[in-house]
Amino acid sequence: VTDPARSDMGTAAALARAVAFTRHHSFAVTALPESSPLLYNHPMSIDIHAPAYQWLARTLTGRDAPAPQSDAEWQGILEYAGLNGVSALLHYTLVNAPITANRAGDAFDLELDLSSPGPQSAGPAELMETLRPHTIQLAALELGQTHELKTILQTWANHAIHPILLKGTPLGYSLYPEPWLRERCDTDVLFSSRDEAKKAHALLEDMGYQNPNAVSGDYISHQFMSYRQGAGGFPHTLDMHWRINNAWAFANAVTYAELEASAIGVPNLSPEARTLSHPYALLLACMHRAAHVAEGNANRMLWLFDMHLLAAAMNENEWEDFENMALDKGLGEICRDALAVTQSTLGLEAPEGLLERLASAKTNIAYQPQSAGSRWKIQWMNFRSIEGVSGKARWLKEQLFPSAEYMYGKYGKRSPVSLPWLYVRRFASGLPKILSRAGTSSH
Amino acid sequence: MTERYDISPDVLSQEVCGETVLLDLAGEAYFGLNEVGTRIWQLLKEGCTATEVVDALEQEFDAARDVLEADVAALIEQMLKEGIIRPAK
Repeated sequence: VTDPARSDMGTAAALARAVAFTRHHSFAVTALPESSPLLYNHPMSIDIHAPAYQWLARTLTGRDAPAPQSDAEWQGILEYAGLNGVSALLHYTLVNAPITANRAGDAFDLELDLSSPGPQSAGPAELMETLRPHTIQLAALELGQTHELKTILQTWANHAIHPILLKGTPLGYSLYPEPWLRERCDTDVLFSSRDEAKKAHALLEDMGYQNPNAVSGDYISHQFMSYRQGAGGFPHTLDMHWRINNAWAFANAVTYAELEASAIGVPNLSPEARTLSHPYALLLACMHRAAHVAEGNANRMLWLFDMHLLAAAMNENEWEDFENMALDKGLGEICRDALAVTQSTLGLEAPEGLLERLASAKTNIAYQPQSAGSRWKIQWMNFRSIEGVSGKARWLKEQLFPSAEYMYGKYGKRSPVSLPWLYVRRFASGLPKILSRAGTSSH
Repeated sequence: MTERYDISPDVLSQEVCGETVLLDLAGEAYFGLNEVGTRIWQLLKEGCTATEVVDALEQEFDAARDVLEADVAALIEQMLKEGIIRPAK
């Protein structure tokens, strides 16, 4: 194809330009590329009524959105897109069309002039200018992370370890047009037991993975992190779970056995990759959201968008399965609340009458949504959900007295004599923080 | 200009936003190629020599041959330097 417009540019501008990696992702959940303006801090507060949130929600789902009138408003949108993990998704939507699982490429009329810079379009032009390199950066990261993950899954499979991938990574490969559009900084993996997770980590240690110092116990943490400085110079992080949620109130709502029985493949990622069926993925997304209410970020748009796409991909039988599970497990109100918020913000379409049926269902005492508003209440919810006095005592002990190994690692001293003083120091530095730890979960 | 090149096995590529992103697993950088660079990359991957790449570009773009030759040579040199490609065995 002859393109006269290109005749003057030669190919000089086309030559490869090296883009140095800074720290794109750290093993820490909060550490994202320092050079990007689209950083989010975690936890943070998300307001679904904020104009920027509303604009993003409507734009990402192809509904008319009133054009912002000032640079400040455009800047707000850019920042909120970053906070909500939807920057690449926004770029894709503006360049192509809104995505849904069943209706990709529906008519889309944003009524914005994104092509000609000028006083009225300075905002959108800047928006695109910022979003494009971010998207390219994410695509580059995805290349390395996918390569790494394939290698890991194959290594585990060679040792008869077949975990189930959760949340962002498998959803990115199965529901989104491109995996990097589902922004994430780690991959969540569920194992059948803590022992299997440890065995899997031991295999990763041979590949250079490390295990950071973290609180652990039978009741307060059901995951650990494995990370290494991975391919291309960026960190690669895995969250290794053996229960589906860190909050005890939710941890046993769904067992590994039932998830495994309905697990589905993720062929776009790897022949070895498998994940949750759509009904279970939606159920877990609802629970994950509830566990984040106390942090104020339960309505982070990328999580709601997962639910929006899952809902659009589910058939009648899958919706029936979802409803039965939600009712049987006493999760009706938590699911109703999640679906209702996603419906009001992103236009999720649920079967007729579902929300009403979920609302009228009996709710398990452990999952009272009104108890999820503060970390203290979540801890109380966790405490109440533990059966037996000895279990409750164990929970308290794990909250108040982490293992000696953890204390030595945290304070850099390795002496049994100093251990009591280390506990005193820990209490002094923040009892509330200690008690809130089990109420948080990763994404 | 008659040499052929192999792509380093450590290099992964992906097209995105009309560009090609190259990630060198052995290094700490990624590379971006615009549309024309992407075309050169595709031709090199197909096993074309520099001369064959220029021949193809001459058909596809309205640019002087000496400009194309210089630019293709410069890109190949840069890619060799970065270890993205190497002379075919």
